[in-house]
Amino acid sequence: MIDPSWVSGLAAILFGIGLIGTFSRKNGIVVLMCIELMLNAANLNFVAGALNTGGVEGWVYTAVAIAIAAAEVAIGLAILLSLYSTQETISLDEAVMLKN
Amino acid sequence: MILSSSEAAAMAPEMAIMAGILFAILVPNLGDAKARIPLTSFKFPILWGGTRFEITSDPRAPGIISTVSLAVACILSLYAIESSDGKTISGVMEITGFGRFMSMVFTAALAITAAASIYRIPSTKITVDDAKDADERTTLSLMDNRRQVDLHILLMMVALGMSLMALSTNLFFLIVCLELASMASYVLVGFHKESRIGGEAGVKYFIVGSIASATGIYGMSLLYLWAGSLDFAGLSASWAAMDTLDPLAGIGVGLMLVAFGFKVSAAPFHLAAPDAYSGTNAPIAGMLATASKAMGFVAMMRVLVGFAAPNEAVTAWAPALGVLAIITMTWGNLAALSSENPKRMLAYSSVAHAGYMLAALAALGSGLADSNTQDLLQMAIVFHLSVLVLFKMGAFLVLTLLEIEGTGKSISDMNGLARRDPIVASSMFVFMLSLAGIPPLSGFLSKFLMINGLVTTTTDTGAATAANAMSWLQSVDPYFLLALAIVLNSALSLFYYLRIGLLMFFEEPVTDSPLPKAPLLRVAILVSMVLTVLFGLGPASEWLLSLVETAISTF
Repeated sequence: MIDPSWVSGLAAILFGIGLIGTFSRKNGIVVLMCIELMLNAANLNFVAGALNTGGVEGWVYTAVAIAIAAAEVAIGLAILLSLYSTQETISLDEAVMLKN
Repeated sequence: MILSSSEAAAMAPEMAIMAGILFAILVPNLGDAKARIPLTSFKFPILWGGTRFEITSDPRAPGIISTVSLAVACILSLYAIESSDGKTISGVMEITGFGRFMSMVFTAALAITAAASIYRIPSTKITVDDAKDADERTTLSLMDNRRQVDLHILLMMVALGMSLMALSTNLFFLIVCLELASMASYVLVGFHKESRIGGEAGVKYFIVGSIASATGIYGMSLLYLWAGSLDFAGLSASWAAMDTLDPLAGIGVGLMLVAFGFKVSAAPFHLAAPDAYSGTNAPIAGMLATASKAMGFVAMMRVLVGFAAPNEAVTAWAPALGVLAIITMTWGNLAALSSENPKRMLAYSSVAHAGYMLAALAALGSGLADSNTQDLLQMAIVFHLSVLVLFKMGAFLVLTLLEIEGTGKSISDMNGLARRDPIVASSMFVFMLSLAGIPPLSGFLSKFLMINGLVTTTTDTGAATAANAMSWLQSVDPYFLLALAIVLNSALSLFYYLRIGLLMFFEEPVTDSPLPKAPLLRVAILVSMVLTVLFGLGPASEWLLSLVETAISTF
């Protein structure tokens, strides 16, 4: 079996990539994908924790966290769509009507 | 899992909200549909579908349903505060007086929001009153009805998530409830999708919010790796057993603070708040400034005071939180001074208020406070969160009134409000004074409790033999500076709060036309104003304080 610390190490790398991506990318959809990476990093950590403790709790947390991530995407795409329908862009640095 | 009847009774406020959601789905679908019994010509009404009745397709119906169910939930929570006995439900919730008190605060804020948006944001530019004939009128009212259903179901979802969050004894359950409330509020912020700024406000709030909550969930997963359990009891035992700060636990708690810091709009995570507030509708902005902020603070208290309370070996977060508090309140006040949009001004003022409460939280974690002072500090935070619902929401309700009229985008729209409508203007003035913390209003009492707590925590650390104030200040514990920062910031904030009063009473009005009627909204403003005054001084304030005390004793 894979050592759980490898799993949490991979999770840390994924989280880092996601976090850097959310700050450096301007396209709304790509930012949404980066947020998904961050959430999946948390999922991997839950899996590693489940392997550590041997209980069923961690697996349940993982399943519910996947549901949270799915809801997040559904809402995110809908909100980005409403931005696109009014301003015809999903680039986050072009949406600048709300300044003062 | 099916609840037993006694568990269901203990969760009566949540049941009331659930019933409200069900009714909001069912009632607008009631119509005159008939079903035919097969092989006969006999028809009987099934009331589901067909042509809708006039009363069920009325655009106001969903709003009335949600206002009533949230108000019922609020009253049920109020009665449950004293009688809650710590019953545990499903191993993830515990019905405590504290949880019930916070449910009351959340549902009160949401009930006011629902009442203020009973008929807002029509689905087309043509309103029902402009309809040319009866057919068009029916169609329009049906469309508006559908739209109101969406809005009010989301409002009730927010209330449900917050109310369950306050009861949770498991960190994972807490985050799931927090997500339920925040996802519904992302949609609410972007709800007015036809306006050009509505979608943008929604996107900004959503992107920043979900980055913050993804960070929080990752922090929580680190805590799970570290402790092997997410129960507050288990986490608390692991935290108390630490000799030195485990980096896994420290980073975990720190990352969770990012998620909660966004909810309370603490610097530097507050940057989306002004955009979200000014892009969305005033009642929803009021909800974000009161209920959402209270939710963030309850979650923060659950984590920081509930299990990560500093022990002898580990005092990690209090100094960081103290610095953050000073930055938050100063940044908020300075930015509010220069904003020309009243909603942005209120957003920054809400950032400043988050700073005051963070200061009290930092003093709680300083390890200097004895148990009496700790209770005082917690009381100050909870009392502030509950009276904030009155005067912060009240100010947003006045802006709602201006928004119905089509103004309220610029601070000059306040000009001469006193001449156009003296009652609304003087209510707004009371809200501003209370936000600034002028006695005898409730905003003063909460700020007084906070400063009192901070000063009692720290004054004994100052040298008794100090010759003058300056040398005493150098000898006193740095947490005393937090009290000083609150006082200085309150003085700073007086400028922009009083400026609104100045504009309302001494400027010439732009128009002489009276403000929109909106009777329910006016009642809500008046009630908020009266309660703001009553909870500042006298028997009513003592009643609320004793209620807060009961709640804190079961935290």
